[in-house]
Amino acid sequence: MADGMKISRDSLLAALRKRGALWAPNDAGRWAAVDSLPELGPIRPRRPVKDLFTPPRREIAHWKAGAGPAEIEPAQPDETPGSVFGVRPCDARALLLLDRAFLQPPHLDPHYQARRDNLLLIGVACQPGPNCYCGVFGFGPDDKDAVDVMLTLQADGFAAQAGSPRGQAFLATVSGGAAAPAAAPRPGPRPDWWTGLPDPKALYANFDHPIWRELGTSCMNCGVCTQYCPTCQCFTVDDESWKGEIQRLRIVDNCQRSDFTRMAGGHNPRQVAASRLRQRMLHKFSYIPTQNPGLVGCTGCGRCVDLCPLDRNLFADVFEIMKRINQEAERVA
Amino acid sequence: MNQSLRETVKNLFAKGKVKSVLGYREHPLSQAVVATLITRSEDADTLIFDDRCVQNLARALTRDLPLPVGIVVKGCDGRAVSMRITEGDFAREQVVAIAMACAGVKADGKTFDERCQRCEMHVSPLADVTVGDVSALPKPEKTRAETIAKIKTMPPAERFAFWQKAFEPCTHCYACREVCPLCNCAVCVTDQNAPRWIEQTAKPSSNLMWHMIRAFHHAGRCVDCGECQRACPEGVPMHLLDLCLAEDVEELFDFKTGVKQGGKWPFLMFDPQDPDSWLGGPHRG
Amino acid sequence: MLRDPLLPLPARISERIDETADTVTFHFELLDEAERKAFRYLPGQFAEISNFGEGESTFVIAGDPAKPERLTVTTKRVGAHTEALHHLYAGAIIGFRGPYGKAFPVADWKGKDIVIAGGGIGLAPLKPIICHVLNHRADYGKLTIVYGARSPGDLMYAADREIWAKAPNTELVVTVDKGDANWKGREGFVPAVLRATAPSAANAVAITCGPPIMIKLTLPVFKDLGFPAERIFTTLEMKMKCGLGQCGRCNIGPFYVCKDGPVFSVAQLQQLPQEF
Repeated sequence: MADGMKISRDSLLAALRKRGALWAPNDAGRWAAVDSLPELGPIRPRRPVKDLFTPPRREIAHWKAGAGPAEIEPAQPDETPGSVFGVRPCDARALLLLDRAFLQPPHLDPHYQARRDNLLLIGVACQPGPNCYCGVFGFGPDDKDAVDVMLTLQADGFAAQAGSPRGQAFLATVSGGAAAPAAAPRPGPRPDWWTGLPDPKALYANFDHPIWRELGTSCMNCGVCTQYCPTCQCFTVDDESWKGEIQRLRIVDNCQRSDFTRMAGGHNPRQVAASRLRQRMLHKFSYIPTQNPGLVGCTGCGRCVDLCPLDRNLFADVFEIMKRINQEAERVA
Repeated sequence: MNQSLRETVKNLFAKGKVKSVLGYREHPLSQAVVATLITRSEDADTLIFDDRCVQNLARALTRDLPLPVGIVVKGCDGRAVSMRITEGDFAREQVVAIAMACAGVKADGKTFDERCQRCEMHVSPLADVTVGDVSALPKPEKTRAETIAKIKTMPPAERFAFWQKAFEPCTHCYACREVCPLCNCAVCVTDQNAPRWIEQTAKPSSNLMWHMIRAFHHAGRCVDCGECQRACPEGVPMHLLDLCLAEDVEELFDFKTGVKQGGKWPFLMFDPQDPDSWLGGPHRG
Repeated sequence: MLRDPLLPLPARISERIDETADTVTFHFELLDEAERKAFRYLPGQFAEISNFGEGESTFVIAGDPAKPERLTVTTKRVGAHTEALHHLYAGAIIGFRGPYGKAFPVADWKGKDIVIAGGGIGLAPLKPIICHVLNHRADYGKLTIVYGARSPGDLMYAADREIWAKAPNTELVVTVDKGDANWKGREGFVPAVLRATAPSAANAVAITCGPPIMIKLTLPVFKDLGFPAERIFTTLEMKMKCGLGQCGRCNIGPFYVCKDGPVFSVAQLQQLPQEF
């Protein structure tokens, strides 16, 4: 990409408005339609940006009770052109992971695709908080790889850099922009004790290690971590009726719930709390990297650490597991 | 306090009174206080107790732990353990309560939690061993009645509006249920689908339904540990509702949850002499 | 525009067969003629069946793959959704999406003997294999079917079994755990009857499906008979919702049962975590 640009707040807003609808985090940290550019907090908002792309509750179809097959109305993908302002690099990178789930032939999700195609991601660099760990994954708070445009707040506007050809084209529509040298990317925060990502194969090989059960004691499977995780994608399909109107819905679900894998007959392969904790950690740090070399199922946003009522720290846990596994491997060798 | 806790636990292991102990440790990396299960006497040196031990470990008590299990409890936690024993989750001899002299905990790291400021039971009523100086514990600074006064004095319509608004942010993640030591149903009513009592997605009807059912199921069982509230990522003040019901139960049945074993348990037993008229008994009011 | 892969196609039930007290087979056809004519599936593939207003459940397509216009599922009443399905009769509209999952590698089995051990409703995923083998009789060697159920009343597919019993180069052994006054057939559990039947493992493949305990006890019998793990196949039962590898539910190790299974060889299963 070319060098950076300097743009004013007003001209950015004007260009975004011209493009279409605008979304940004509201005061409650949820993604909402807005008319102006909100003042953002220093770090990521409470909710990940995935809410706009794969909402917790999405209609598949609806019909009236007793309707014939011809009257089943499929939900139409939302193709409103627009932009999302205030996307943080961790959340944007998480979308790349969701792309692998929802844009994978032959079963593309047209709703997700319509949002990805029509929404421009306007990133805003953040001031990392105490539980931000993007540095663990090799990027920083102003990373522009997964957004269309990355902005850095300045006293009199924004320093802007394009992250994609689409972003480049958009920046050309912002009036009054002046070329400015792009700042060097900032390194991301990571814990001082962190020594590197775990080996996915070693984690998997220790599927039956007693440490999972030990860690299970400190987890109550409340599932808050997955609810706020920008990369978690699991859902369920169910029908709901309300006053004679029936909806077929895709509803967010999470692997920590006891009924996630409970089958209709009552058999549940993941009955024990520790097995569900293990599933979550292995999925992120072993299964996804094994299936997609170079990717990890976590982008270091740290929401799970912020919100865990049991004060667990995912990274500390992963580190502790690997330390134990490595120590035992050394002892054997 | 840490030292005497560790000595006590080692002693319990040495005497064969416990096979495992649930307690708190400081995570060496994150420095956060997390729950831990130790099964060897020498690991007792990792145990701590201070005002950062906000979690209620009673929920982590499961029958697949090596029994008898010791559990480090604050006053509220101990009441929950007591309640679980009463309800038959555990036999009395399967659990060894290590009651800490708890002056209160600080979830925010600065001030005592609201529940601690009005705590009347700084030491667990269920106590096999007691650790710390129980004579030097603070007196309550306020009462539960004061906490819920603003709700109790609202006219019904206003009160209903208050709760509807309060439940609005609920996403049905059920974290409140998962951390509650007394949400111990084998299959929660929300997970039953034949019939489906509560719809899975968040909307005013299902939010109200979930929180009402949740609160009713806790009447006379809630021990005021506040875990539900603390776990809620959306800040729904559901614990206030539990408090309102606890106040009613105490008033109507002269009953404090988890304080003594045995006796009458309003939510758990049928009694033809029940003070409520529709159960056939003489109406008290 | 792309079709939402979660959107079911309407289908009409053409026939309902009450197999046992709690098991019903539905034959149905897709309403859309173009879809119906284009539809193909392979033995072992499954589908999501909706009862509109009640949700969706996963069933294996238990028909004859050579007649893909007539679709079949066999459903056992175990939960709310199957309960609702069992209130449906011929003419009712259901939703269908599929086929999903990897099929049994029937093409690789050409020239081999086929040994099938099924228990209870576990015969459903095996039926398309039997149909396929009988449709291409010359391509395969001897077909041995050991099928068991708890009691005579729990045996399914009576009409099909009559055809199979008379099919050339086919041995059908039916057994029940416990017979009743009218039962003149064999008694005994599937693993024991399989051992007594003793099909040759030379140049043969084995496929088993049934309740977990039956599979657990049948696998060692196949092993004893000389079947290597690569030539024993089964289907993995796991709660599924989407069938597309998206909803995360059936994730086991680096696989999704819906996408990478449900058909696995025992050799493949040995590589998976022993979670199930």
